[in-house]
Amino acid sequence: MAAQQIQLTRRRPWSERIIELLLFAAAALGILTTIGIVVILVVQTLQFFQIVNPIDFLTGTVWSASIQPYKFGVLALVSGTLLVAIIAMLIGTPLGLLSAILLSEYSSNRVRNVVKPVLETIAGIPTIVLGFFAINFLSPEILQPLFGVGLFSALAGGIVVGILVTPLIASISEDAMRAVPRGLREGAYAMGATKFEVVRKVVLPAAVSGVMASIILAMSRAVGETMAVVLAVGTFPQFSFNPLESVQTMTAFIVQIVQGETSQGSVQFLSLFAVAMVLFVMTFALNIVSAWFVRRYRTAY
Amino acid sequence: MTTATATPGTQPRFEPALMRRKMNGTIFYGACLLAIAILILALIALLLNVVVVGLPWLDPQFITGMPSRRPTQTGVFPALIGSIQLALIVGAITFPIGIGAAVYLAEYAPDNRITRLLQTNISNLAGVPSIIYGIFGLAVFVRLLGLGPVLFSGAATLALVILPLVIIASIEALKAVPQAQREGAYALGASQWQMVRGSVLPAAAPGIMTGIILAMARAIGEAAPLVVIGAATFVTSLPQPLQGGFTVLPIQVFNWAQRPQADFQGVAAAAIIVILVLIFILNLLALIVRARLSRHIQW
Amino acid sequence: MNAQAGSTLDATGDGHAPATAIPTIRIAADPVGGGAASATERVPNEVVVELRGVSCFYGSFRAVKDVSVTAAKREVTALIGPSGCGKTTLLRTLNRMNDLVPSFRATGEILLDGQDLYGKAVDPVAVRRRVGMVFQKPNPFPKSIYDNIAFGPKINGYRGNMDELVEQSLRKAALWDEVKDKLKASGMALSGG
Repeated sequence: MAAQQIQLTRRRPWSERIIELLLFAAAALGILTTIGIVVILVVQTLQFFQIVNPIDFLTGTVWSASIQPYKFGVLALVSGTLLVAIIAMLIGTPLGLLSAILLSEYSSNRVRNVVKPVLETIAGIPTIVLGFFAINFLSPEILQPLFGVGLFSALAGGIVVGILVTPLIASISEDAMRAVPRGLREGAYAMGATKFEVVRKVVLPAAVSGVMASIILAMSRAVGETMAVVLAVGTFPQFSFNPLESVQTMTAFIVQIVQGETSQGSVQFLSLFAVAMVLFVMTFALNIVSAWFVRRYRTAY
Repeated sequence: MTTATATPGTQPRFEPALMRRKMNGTIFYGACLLAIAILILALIALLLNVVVVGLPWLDPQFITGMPSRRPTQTGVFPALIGSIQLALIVGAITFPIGIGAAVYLAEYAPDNRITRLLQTNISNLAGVPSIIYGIFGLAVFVRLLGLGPVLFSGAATLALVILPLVIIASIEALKAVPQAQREGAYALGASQWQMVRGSVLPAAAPGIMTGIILAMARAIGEAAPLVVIGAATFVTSLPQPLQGGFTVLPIQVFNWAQRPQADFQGVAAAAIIVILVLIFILNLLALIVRARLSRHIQW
Repeated sequence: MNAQAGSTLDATGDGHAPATAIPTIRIAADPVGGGAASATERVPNEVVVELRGVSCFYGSFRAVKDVSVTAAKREVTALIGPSGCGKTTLLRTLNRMNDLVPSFRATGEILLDGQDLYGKAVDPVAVRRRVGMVFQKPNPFPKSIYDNIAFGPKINGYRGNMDELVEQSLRKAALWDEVKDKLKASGMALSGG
């Protein structure tokens, strides 16, 4: 009987190869973007450094880009950014952590049905709305009577950015706490520990990598935040760590220059890129550290 | 309180102090509840603030009218159309590129250094501040490609902002599809692309589409990159994607909120309400789409 | 029923179970046109699948050791053995499903109709189109019942009337009467069986 040989040899059709190539291109777009960002920032920053001494830039504490005599000490802006970010962390970390503990350890349906929607709603609010809240209500109605601050202050910006990053801290910390094996908790309970003690002495120490990751990531987010701080914090760059004062963050300065009438090649415009470079390096470093912590807690169990 | 003693007359060796410890626990629980209460309070204050200040200014004339220098006669129609067009273009760009990259990384990519580099790169991009994307967009779309400060440049820039998030969410949705589904398709004689397109993608569709729609909601609220791109703040004609100035709702809010007069604060809040409504609609859409796409999924 | 001695397959990994001989049992059907042949003159059916000295490795772990076995046309050939002895691995070599595991490697010859399934130019997709598989655990696609049945023919380029094909297939599986009114229902609603 004639054996009908079934056709087994068949080269992979070129359509499959093209599809794989297209998909690879999509993924590789990311590399192009990163390279592009770095190149743009570096080139313009180097041009800036032709005019302004990099040492003066990196160590100076007076920033006066629009008013003579021009001074470009970036530390004034960095201090503004850090001031706001630190206040944000002081607010966001306890709020976020306690919410995470609530979700992970005291989880009942009632708790989840309240906490999760609240966190998700806050996470979905555009940052400009938070900025509006800061100067329309928070500053005039609450901070001014209480602390006597002006309309713009680092405190106002710090508070709203703190609210902003709370869902971020909460979700990553909850993730890390959930990853702690039940056996660890049960061992502690079996020895007669109270719930609070289990959380404090078993869960949190075990989840510390994840919690650190969330805090650092939130810090990065706070450092890079623009719209909320532009409205709330003001445009008065000064090297100060007084939260009641009006300062200027790196991001707010970038917005200020872009909105203004500065010409393309001017030193003010170039300073924008130098400041952006510092911003990029800071957030990039924070993200790398955070990712390292995430790897630690993902592989710990 | 119990004491454990080996022989009478010796000191108790344990002081369980149960009451005090339990009370600490209750205080701690109270602190957790206080945290939530503060968050809820902040959220309510925020929304109330916006509604109380903005609602009086929200009327049909505001929504359908053109902007004017006087807040009493101003409208957000060009900004509204701009936001909607922006969302659509961002979605159109993100859909193929985001899903394509995710499919490659989840289904095709071999386990080697290049793949790990691609993945790390995307994670890093997710953490870059949006204003830096604005600078990138300014240099590449507006200047280098010569498109100018048009709606499309803004949309392309915002697409880059949300792409890492979409890719990460899509990869997770793809990885959640059980391996049995892939094997079932392969066993029928499917090629890799047939398997992905016919079996894996439909199974991951709810998660992927939810991710894209929510990312679009995020893009509607973004302003920082657009400020850098050069979105105008006073546009009296409807935006066209490739020519002319453009504006979007968040830019209008930014413009008005900076002015101290109560009238401007009012219209700023009214515009915020419109933004929040749009975001709400998108979230609703995400729920509906998710329900529709997962009607067959039961694992 | 002829029982043919199989060959040794290693037990998985732990070295506790001794090497077991896997008996293969052939249930021979009557050869075509064999009405006149008497029971003593049975012509053996043509061999379709042949494994010669096949070993299967996952990385450095050897799951199947030196198996030689044949399966003939119009016969049911069963592989029997204790759990973990490599039956599934062996089966999956027949439709190249083990290719999905990156560390998999097979040595020896695996022939279908005389053709080496693992030849250099052989496309696994082409193999799977001809060698079907029924899974241990049901895994319907998250599609409608109709689409579940239609998926296989569709990707293989079926040009005929799909509605008829779906109905025929369901009839053959004795499911038609049960599902004919709910073809659009989810395929995952049918569980088991």
